[in-house]
Amino acid sequence: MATLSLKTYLDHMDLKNWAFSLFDDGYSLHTYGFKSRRATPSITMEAKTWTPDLVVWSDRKILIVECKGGKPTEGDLIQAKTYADIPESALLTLTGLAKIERKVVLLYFKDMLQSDVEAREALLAKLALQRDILVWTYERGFSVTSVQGSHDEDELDSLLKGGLDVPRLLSHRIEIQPDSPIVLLEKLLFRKLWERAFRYKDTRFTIGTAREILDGHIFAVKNPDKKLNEAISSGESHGLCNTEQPGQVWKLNVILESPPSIQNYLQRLQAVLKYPGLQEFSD
Amino acid sequence: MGVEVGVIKEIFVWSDFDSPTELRDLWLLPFESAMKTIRINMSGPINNEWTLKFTDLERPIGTEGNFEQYIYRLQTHCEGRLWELYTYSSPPLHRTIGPLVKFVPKLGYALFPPNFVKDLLQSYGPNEELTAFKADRDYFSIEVGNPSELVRENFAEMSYKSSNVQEDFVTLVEKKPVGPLLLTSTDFKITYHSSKVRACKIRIEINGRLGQVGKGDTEIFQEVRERALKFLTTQIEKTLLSTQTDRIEVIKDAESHTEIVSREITQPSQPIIIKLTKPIDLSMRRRIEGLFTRDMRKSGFFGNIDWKSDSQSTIRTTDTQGGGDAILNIQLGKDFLLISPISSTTARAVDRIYHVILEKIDVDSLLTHMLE
Repeated sequence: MATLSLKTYLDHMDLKNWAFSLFDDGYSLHTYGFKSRRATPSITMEAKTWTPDLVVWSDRKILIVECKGGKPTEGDLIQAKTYADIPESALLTLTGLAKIERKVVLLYFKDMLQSDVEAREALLAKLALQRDILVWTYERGFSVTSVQGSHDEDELDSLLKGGLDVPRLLSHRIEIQPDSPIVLLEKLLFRKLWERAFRYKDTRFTIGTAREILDGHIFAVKNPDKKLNEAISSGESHGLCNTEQPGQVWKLNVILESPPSIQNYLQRLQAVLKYPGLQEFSD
Repeated sequence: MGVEVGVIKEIFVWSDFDSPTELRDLWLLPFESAMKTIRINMSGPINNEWTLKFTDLERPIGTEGNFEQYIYRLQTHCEGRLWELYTYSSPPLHRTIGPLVKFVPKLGYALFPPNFVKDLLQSYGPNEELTAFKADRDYFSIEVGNPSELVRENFAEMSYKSSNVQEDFVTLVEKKPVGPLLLTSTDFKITYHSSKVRACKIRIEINGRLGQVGKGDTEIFQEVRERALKFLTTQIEKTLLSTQTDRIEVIKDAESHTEIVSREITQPSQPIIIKLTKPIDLSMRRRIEGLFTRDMRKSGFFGNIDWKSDSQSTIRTTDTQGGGDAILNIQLGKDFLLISPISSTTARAVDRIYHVILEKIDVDSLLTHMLE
């Protein structure tokens, strides 16, 4: 079990959103043929589960993308290999395409990949032996600037090696994933509860409300209510809500008509990711 | 040929309700309890038209137990997202639709921005005559054409009778001798000279209001109403196309014992642009940041600066009137502001952000969509 700093994790989420935007309509890879994509898929087959960051596919190739916000580690290639082992039948279920070639992409920030020469060299040396795994390097806010490995399609190789445009602004479309730390779920949940409070003039909520407002987000593979309860408890400990009926009804700690109260709530929400002791978590 | 009947007054409202029956079932009782002296009866629909009957318990009439009543009819457009409320009488807004829209967070006035009104007037060419207008600034209002004079708190309101409203409009609003003024109400007369002279006086107000001023040719009014409706319909369609939509896809294959749960973003967000008349400088950037993060009383928004560098800020702001969140991007030196709608952003929130910019930052700014 690796330990990540929260900053590395948030960088990872940024990278994941940038990666997602590479396949937006109008951008080169979409035009090339990668028109189908899914964020944060959870693929379960018998007792095994795979959760890559992103999968995209054309009518002949599927890219399984894993984003790495930090420096390269030995575990990265091991993780990529597990994606190379996803059974073909699972890919068929996902894409509906009987014959599809897979490539696994490890995506790094350029500065992070270059910051540790030894780790980078170790990764690239081992990569030379892997036919189905590639490394893409992303320059923050600019483009994909280098590719190691082959896509087995000259046109695609040349497209990527020439650099890819990315949107001007990073849009945080993927805010959470199943292995996110509870504080990230807490922040998203309490932001949405606050937005809802204005829409319904109602600061009370239940676990059902929480589930409903996070519809569309994948934040747990198993037992989502347990995670939601943890996020609510964490919110309570940070002064964002109070219990009205234990385990059933909570109330946001905000008076909607009072600007000072609103300001306090938002300050507490902003501070959620800065509380001491939360800088490290295990994935 | 138009027929001269009663005077029609309309209010256009954005709605988040799935159906007006949701308003009837969930909001009217709490509204009556909060208002104490207003009662509403809502009936329908008959031919896609609901009727809202307001009873004003503060205004008794005739025999005991009878009170003044005001009727609005309601039609929906754009799959229920736009409500058109109209009446042939002149009910006091502050005892009818005004408090209802204020009370129900899923409703909000549509916006007729100055550029729409100016384009509308221009399109009628010589058939149009500007007869009165009202233009405001935070603390300043000039009303031309309707004589009255009053001072309210530290808000100066001046009005005078003009012999040439058209010229005064150019002098006061377009040349801006007293600083930028936001056009909030415009009265104009449209006249067609054919075998018979047909004319109609119309008032259009920034907060989604459109009505006849006195009796006039209803066909002319209907023509303007259709243009207003087309404008609002186009706005909401573009906003919807700019807003992210997503869904959770669950695929199960019993044969291979596979289950795949993933998130499909079916439509990505596209920024909506507020085009400004001058580049953003440091002071403007601070003002915009302040309006959308902490000056709730001035803007109706509250939020956080999510990300900031020397040249840019990204703000996540919440419409405290229930229109949802939106992301704003401000770039120093650029003559535009970007609104990135998220899945919960409504057309009301976009209109309100634009209204704040018009009122507090730049009266001549334009709202455009990337799709254009």
